[in-house]
Amino acid sequence: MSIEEIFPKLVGSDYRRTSEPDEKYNCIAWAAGRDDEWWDVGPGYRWPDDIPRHWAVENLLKLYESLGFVRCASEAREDGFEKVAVYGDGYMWTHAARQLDNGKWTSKLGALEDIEHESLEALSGAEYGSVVQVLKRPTTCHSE
Amino acid sequence: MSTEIMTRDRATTRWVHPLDGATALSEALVPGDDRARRSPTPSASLESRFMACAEAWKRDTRHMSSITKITSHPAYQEIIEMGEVVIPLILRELAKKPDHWFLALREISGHDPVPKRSQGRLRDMTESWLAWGRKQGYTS
Repeated sequence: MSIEEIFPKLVGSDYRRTSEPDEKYNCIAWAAGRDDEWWDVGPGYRWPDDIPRHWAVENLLKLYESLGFVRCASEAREDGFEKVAVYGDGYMWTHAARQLDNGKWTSKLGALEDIEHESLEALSGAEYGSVVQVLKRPTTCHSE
Repeated sequence: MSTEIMTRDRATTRWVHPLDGATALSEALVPGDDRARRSPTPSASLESRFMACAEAWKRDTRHMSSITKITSHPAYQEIIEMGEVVIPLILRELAKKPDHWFLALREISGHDPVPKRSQGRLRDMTESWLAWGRKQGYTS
C-alpha cells in the first residue's frame, strides 16, 4: 500500500520523500531532531522517567515541553523559533511533525520514509487524526 | 486499517489495553532467569497461522509511530494469544530484521532483558532479546 493510499490528502499536495524507510526512529524522536531512537511510552522504548508512560496526548506534550518547547496557537513560521505539531486521535497521540526553515514540515511515517510536506492537513485523516497542539522553542534551544 | 485498542484479558476477561498492564508486569518480572529449556516446536499449521498474522500486522502498521497502536493490531494480539510455542518463530523474525516484537515477547514470557541504556534503540533491543532467547534455549 502506498503512502498516498494511507494518507489520501497527500494526493495532489506539495510533498516529497526525503529518506528511505528506516525502522530505527519514529516521528516522535524525529520531531525532536533525533534519527537514532524510537521514542514511545511502550515498555523498553525511550521515554523520560518523569513523564507517565501512557499514550494520552498530554504526556507527549509534556515530553516536548521537557525539551524546551512551549504550547502556542499558530502553526505559521516564526523567525527564531522551531515548531512541532502533535497529531491526535481523540485522547491518544498518533504523530508529530517538525517545521523546517522553509516553513514546510517534515514527518517520519512510522517505520516508513521521511517526507517534507507543505501543510499539516496533508497527513490528517483516519490514520493520524488531526493536529491537536502546536509547540515552539527558540532555535538556539536544542537540549534533550 | 484502523485497529482496536482494547483487548480482552485472558485471566480476568476484562477489556484492557496491552500497555496498561505494563507496570504490574514489570513488577512481576524475574530478572536473570537462566534456566535452559527445550524449545517448544510449533506445528506447521501454527507456523502458517503465525506467518499470516505477522504479514498482516507488518502490512497494516508500517506507517504507525505509536507502539500502543502498533501492538493493538488484532493480528499482533492473536500472536500473543498463541503463547510460548511461537517464541522461537518471533525470535526468528527478529533475527531477520529488528521490529516491534518486544511487547509480544514480554507479554508471553514475562521477561524483559532490555537494559535501560538500550531502550528505544531497536538494534540493541533486538540483540538483547536474541541473547535472551539463546540463553533460554529457544534458539541455538
